[in-house]
Amino acid sequence: MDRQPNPFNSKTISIDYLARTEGESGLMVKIAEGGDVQEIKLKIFEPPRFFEGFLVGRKYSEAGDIVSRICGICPISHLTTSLQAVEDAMGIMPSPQTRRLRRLMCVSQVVASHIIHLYMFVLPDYFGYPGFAEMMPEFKKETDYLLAMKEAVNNVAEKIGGRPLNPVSMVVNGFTKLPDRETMLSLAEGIRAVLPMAYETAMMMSRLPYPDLETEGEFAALRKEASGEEERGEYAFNEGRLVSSGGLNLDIHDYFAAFCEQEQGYAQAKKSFLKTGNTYMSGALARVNLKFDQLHDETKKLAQEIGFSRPDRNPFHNNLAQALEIYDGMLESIRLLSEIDPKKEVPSVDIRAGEGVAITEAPRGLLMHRYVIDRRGVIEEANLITPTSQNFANIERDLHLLAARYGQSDDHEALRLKCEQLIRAYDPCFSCSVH
Amino acid sequence: MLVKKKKLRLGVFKYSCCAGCEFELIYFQKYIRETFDNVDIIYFRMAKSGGSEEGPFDLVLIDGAITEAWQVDQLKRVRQVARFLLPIGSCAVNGGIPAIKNHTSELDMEKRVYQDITHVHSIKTHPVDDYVQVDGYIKGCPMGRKDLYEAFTSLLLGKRPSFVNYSVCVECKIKGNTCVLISYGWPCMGPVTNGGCGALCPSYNRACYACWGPMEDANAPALARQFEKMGLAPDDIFRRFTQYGSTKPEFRRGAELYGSTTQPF
Repeated sequence: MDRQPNPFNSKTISIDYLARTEGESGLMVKIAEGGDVQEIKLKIFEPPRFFEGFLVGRKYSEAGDIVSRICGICPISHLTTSLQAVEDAMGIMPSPQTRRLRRLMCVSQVVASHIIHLYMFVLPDYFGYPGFAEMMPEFKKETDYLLAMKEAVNNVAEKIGGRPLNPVSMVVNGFTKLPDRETMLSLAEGIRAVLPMAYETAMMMSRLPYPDLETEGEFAALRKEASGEEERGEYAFNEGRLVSSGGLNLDIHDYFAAFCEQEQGYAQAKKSFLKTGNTYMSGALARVNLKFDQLHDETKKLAQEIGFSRPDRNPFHNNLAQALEIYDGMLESIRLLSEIDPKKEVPSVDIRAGEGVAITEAPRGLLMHRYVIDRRGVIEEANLITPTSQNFANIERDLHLLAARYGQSDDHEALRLKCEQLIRAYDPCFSCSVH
Repeated sequence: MLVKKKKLRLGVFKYSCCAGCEFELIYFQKYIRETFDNVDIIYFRMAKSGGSEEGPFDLVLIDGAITEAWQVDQLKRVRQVARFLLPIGSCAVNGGIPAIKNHTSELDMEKRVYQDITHVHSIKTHPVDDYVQVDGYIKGCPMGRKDLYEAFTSLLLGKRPSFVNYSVCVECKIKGNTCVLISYGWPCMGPVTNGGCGALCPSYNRACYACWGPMEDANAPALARQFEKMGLAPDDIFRRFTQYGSTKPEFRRGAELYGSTTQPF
């Protein structure tokens, strides 16, 4: 190791395989003498699996089960998005009960994903450990919290879906089996029991020493306004319009009018941009910034207590936003579990040819599926745009800002850690990004 | 008493997959403390920074299918320094979902996804045992906790593991489920699919779609012909046997009666 203490010397940070993220990527940062950032490349080398290629020729009814295997942390997001895109293509409007149960499944997955991400991927960086397993002997209370919260929210997906990863009850236009009222109420009790831990988690996250940085990209999220007698619209996950901090307000079918993607020679993932050329950030921070008014009142109070004020442009604070969403998601799960009284419905499908688009909020950001389906229900075209490929350009842009800001003051190891922390703050999923 | 307090040296390697099995491993929920008490993580990139690929390992778990040449090289190196090596989950065990592409030419597949295919270096999808000897299989999508538990406890106790080795049908019978194939005429893959899921889909009012892959020596052609008698179109039968595990001869023999499968080599 030839570490040079001279701050004006050039620096190269080269990571061949980034740890504690989902999937495979490396990083190259080059800073010249004097501090000019010469190169930033997030080298996503996750091998392509060609989902968009082999979905062609498959039946609409298989699509959900197939795409849930794109991602091991957010299978429910891919599954839901796929079902909604198929329904959009066939002109099917699922029942209010189906839509609410899907919302419950998605909320439970967002919470579960955030819990794992914060405890197992983020905390070790801030406490100086290689991984959470090494932290466990010293952090007994945190381990208890992680396991108890994870089990309570996983139970929701397991009881309703059959298993927490790749659930089987969710199909086009409904659920093959519905939980009974007692199960729903006992799941709500389970979550109520761990709610104080979510509060403590947010308190703990607020005490971490986040580096300072201001992202320059826009925030983008799905937002649903209040309808009818509702006081405020729900904090959108599966339904709504695309909005951005730059003033975008679009029907989801117009996604391609405002967004585009480009291939990168050095990465297997494609990179999305706004057509204006701007980059954007989606995910927890974007959602909390753009939909703060739609959070539960208790969550707003918690936000105040942990000193979160919006708009918060620090990408490292995505972790704070995730902590708020864990708390809010638990409140929302309790509400849905207490309110929904499942009534028997049989999912029926009238197969029709058509083109369908769906956009949902996966734990780490916007997820788009578009299919063209023929009259026998066979998929002719498939296009999937995942959260991490949407955040890709903004992550690199933030890395650039970070390297410019800390490139001279930090030594090699400190800068390397900051770069890794920044990438992890986005909670990227490289398996999703390539798919 | 029998358990010696010697920690297992664990390596986990990820190839082409969703990493869901690795997640299953790091949750492992109520067993997580006991697991980490008895295991030293030597290499597991998703859970830990650093670590050494060189081992040596008592146990290596392989997550994901083989779809690029560098993975083969690494896999062979890892095998040499591993006492036991187990593929985990359908991708590693039988090619899983990534193997659906095997029935279309590689070039067509690449062109459907990328405009510039010069940086794509994919090969046909292979299960891990196409390249190295394995010491058993932890099946499932994601992998089954029962078999995972069996693998760890067996190693710690120094006994031979006994993995689930019967079809989904057995689990339906144990649960007392109504047979969805015979009673409702749904194209259930249960008779040829390895159990371990607890007959999840039939218990949730749907036909098994074979996500755990073929049971050893399953008679897929007989089931495929039954599907035909039930009125399924040839292309639908082909899809049933190529969604999971068509790299394995069991399912390939069912699929090739109703469509053209490409040989993996």
